[in-house]
Amino acid sequence: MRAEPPVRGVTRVQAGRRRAVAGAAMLLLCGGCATVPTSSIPRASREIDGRDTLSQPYIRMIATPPRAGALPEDVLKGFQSAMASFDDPALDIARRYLTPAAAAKWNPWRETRVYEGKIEWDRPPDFTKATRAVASIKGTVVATIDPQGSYRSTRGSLEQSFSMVKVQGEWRIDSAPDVRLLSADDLSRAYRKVDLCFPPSTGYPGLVVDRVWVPIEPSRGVAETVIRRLLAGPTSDIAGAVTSAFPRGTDLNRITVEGDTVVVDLTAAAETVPSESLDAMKAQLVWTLGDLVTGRTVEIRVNGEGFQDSTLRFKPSDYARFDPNVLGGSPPSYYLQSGRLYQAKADKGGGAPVQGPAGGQATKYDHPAVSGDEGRPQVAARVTGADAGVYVTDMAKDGQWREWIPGKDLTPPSWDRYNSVWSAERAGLQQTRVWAAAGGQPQKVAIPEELATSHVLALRVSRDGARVAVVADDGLGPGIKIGTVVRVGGQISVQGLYTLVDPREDQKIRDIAWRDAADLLVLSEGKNGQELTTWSVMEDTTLSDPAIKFDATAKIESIAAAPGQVLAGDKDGTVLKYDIDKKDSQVVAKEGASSPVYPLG
Amino acid sequence: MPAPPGRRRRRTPGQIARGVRRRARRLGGRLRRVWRRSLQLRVVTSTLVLSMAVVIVLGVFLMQSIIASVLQASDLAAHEESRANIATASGILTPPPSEVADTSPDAGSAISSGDLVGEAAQALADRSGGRYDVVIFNDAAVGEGRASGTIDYRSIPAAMRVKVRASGEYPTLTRQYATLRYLGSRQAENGIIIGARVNGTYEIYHLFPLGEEETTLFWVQRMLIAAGAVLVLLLAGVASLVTRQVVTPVRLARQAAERLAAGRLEERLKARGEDDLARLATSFNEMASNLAVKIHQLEELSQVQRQFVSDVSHELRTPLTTVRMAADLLYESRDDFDPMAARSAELMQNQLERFESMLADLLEISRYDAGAATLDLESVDMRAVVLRAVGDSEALAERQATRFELRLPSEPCMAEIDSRRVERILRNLLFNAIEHGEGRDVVVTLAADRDAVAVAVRDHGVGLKPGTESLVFDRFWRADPSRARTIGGTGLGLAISREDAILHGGWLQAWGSPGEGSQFRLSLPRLAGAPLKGSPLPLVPPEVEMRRTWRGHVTPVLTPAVSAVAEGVVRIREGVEEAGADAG
Repeated sequence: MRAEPPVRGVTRVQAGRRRAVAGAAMLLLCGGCATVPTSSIPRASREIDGRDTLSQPYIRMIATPPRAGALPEDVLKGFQSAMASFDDPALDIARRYLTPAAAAKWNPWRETRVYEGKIEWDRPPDFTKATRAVASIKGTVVATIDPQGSYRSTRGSLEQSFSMVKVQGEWRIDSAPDVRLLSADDLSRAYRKVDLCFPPSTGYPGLVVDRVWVPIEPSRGVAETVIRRLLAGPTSDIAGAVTSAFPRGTDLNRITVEGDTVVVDLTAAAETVPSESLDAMKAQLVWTLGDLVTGRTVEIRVNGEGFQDSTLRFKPSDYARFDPNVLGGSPPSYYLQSGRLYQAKADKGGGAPVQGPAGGQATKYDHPAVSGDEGRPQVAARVTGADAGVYVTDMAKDGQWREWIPGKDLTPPSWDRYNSVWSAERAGLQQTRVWAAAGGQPQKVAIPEELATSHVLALRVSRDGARVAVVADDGLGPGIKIGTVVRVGGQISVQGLYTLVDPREDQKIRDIAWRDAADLLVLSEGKNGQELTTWSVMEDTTLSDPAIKFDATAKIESIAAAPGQVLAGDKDGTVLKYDIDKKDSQVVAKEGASSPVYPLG
Repeated sequence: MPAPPGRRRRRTPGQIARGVRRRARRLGGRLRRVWRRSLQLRVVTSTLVLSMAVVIVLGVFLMQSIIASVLQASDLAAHEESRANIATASGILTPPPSEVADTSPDAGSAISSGDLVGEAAQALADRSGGRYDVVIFNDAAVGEGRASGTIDYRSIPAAMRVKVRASGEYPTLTRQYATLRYLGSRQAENGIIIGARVNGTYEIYHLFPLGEEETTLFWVQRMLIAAGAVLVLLLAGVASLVTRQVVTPVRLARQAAERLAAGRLEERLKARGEDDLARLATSFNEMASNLAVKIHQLEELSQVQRQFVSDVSHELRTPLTTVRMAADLLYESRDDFDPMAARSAELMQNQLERFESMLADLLEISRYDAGAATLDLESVDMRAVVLRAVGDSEALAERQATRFELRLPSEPCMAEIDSRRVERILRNLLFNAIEHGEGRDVVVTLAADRDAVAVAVRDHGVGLKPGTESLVFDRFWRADPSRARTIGGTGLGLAISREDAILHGGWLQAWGSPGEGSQFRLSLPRLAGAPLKGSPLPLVPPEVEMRRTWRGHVTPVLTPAVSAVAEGVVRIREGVEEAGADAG
């Protein structure tokens, strides 16, 4: 077209179209060339990382075989580090530090000893000429761990001597004690503290904690080691009180993470689990793995396939009722004020009298205890005077005080989760009887002679009903003993008694309280004033950081504890609530308030 | 080897190998043939090969650069991480000055010197969050080796440790790719190890697994291979399509050319478009039409010539009759003339006769050219036809002192023929044989099989020169132009005979060899119109064939036809009669 003016409009349209086409082409070209998209449709994000999220990073000792021409000191140090290496399950490298004869008979499996100390040489040796040398490790034994994994802290000096000889020009250890010696660093590096959970042998839907220390085998990882230890069964301390829900012979094939699901692959024996134990089995798994499975889904498979021809998949939160600590995050708390039992309000101070006779003033009682029945809790209290004994009433309008345990000199009552009220009765000067009453019928508990012949000052049954803590004075002063509650048939007995807190001079134990399944709070009064210590019952040790520090001047009379919080009643009639996480306290009640109580414990 | 009955004969490995080789050779031959014949296949194959080479080269280059860039990124990240970590570890591993003073070698050495290595390792492991692993060695002290996670510290190659130990202090990093092995069930994977020497004797190694990168690269590689394969196949497909577009018109043109060659002059190509192929088709069509026009013109020309010959022959007959009558008159009264005039009359008579027969032959042959010749078919015994023809030739034979040797079958040989024409063929052949037989025996053989009959006439004269076997049937052809015609043939006899044989759907063929004489064979189908597939008699006389075979030291093979002929030979010696043939 030659005539330009008339086609101006057309040209504009054409130019626009051309520009649009060019733009589209550019867009396509850029889209094709762009490597990272500049935008996209929002979609649910998936976990694409196949990393082992079950194991936190941890450090291993590298065992090195003895070097040629090493000095005796280095040989001994090398032997020690080889003992601390868990890369080498049979300790073959450690054995290479021994003379062949010693290596053949050395058996380190019987006991593991944790020590703090140094190597000392008997005399300043001239190693170039000598053919024999003796070195000893001197220090203190901190703890022992038996093959089952039970940790017992001990206080004792350690003197372990190693005689060394020259074999073919190389120094070797001639005699080594039949013990695996680990330093505290080695322990914290190679061991993990694990709370194994087992259902009680009574069949009650709950779990009992069995705390063990297990060495983490590098080839297995934490989760697998823990599950294998769980399948191996409870330690002998608690073996009478619990039973494993896993059928005998169950073994672990592997434990893997698939996206958000932790897959536990068991051997075929797992399928023989009776249906009534299945929940307990799942709960055991979930609570033993604890943090490793929190927020995830757990799936049990048998030899890589479904469980009993279906998929067995569950969430840990579904098994919250199996909590071995029994009490949840914010349990109800109670206190006594002017002869009435009050239930504290959740956040604000103050409280309201509970329903039933416990909230009235008709009967004078002290040391109330509240049962764990959430719907219709019961209150047990000690009544002194003419009709002395432990009385129980429902926390309801129609409740009536009924005497469950008669007796003059009874310890404050303590509930266990089988709705039994426990109390120890002083029958003579050095004679004690322990009662457990269920439904108003007192039953004598079989107790070891050791306990029967001592003066029991206080008795607390743990919330899981598997252990009992006793403040007993056997003449040397008050100490704390822990026993395992075994219920066989209708009989209740306390077995496996051991001393948690040794009696000490000028130490008075004011009160004890179970904080959770494993920890016992001990309020003691010594020269330095009052002290609240947390004892790990199953490790026989105090936790290094005290949960709460009281004023040294505070006169705390009684304590009650639940996971994460502590109630303390002082002499001035104030009840304080301490929050362990927030590390602060708040007044619950003032003026004549005392005897704070959490359910059970 | 006698095989036991009821069992399949087992073939030896050699036989099997031979069989396989034979089959392979056959297949190879077939492929070669296809290869030679198909332009498309050749183009597609070469495209395939070339594009494969290009794709492989490009793919390798591409893969190399992708690997380099992917690894470079993770390499860089690993370096950064290691550098930061090693700085941290170096800080941890430097003991506080007070403690340095405290640790004298003589004093009871501390078993746990605060476990600085453990602390450092833990710090690094915490930082790693499981993404990589850390291994620390200290060869100067005992029990100072640490590893994180489940890494097998033996993954670090010994050569690398030597290098690290020999290298400078921290800022120098040593790097190596290696396979990282793990304790337990975790799969080994390839990764990068970065090592450094810190605080004198500490060696810190960071082991970064590159499993994800490996997987990525593996998939990229897979995709590249798949894409390359698809590309090559696509290219082959495209080549195939394109060649097809070119080859199809060419093939059509070839077919058209073949049809054109077969005589279908109306054959044309379809020309579509204006491309090269369309122009080829147009040119082809032009060529075809030009050819057709030329051929048509030539046909017309030859038609005119034939017509002219025919007309001339006819026109010559009328004056010739008059001349003939006058010549007859002169010839009958030659005794009254003086000897010179009498001789002239005789000569004239002779030449007139020859002229007449030539004219007859010309007319005959122009009938053939005009396609006016028809067959007068009847079922006759060929023996009788042969005997009649021999009888007609007896007189001439007598004159040439030639004897006939007849070999006829004992049973009748019935055939549907035009006996007049066949007799004429035989007479021609016999006259020819007598003329060139130089007085030697002439052998006449008759044989028949289910479909055909054949007569062979053999002479033992000078024979034919090689290459002249087919020329003998040409019109007015002469073996030796200097030689005079003794019998006075017109030079058209064999041509006419050939036309006769073709009219019957038969063959007339000649064989000759210098010094061995010649043989003419007439083969005819027994039923008129049936196609002739073979002849009951050999073209080359059996004795000649046998002699040649002997000379060649080859085992003599008697052809079945020879033996069949030899069975039914009948020798006939008959009296000589005056011949009254039309031509020689």
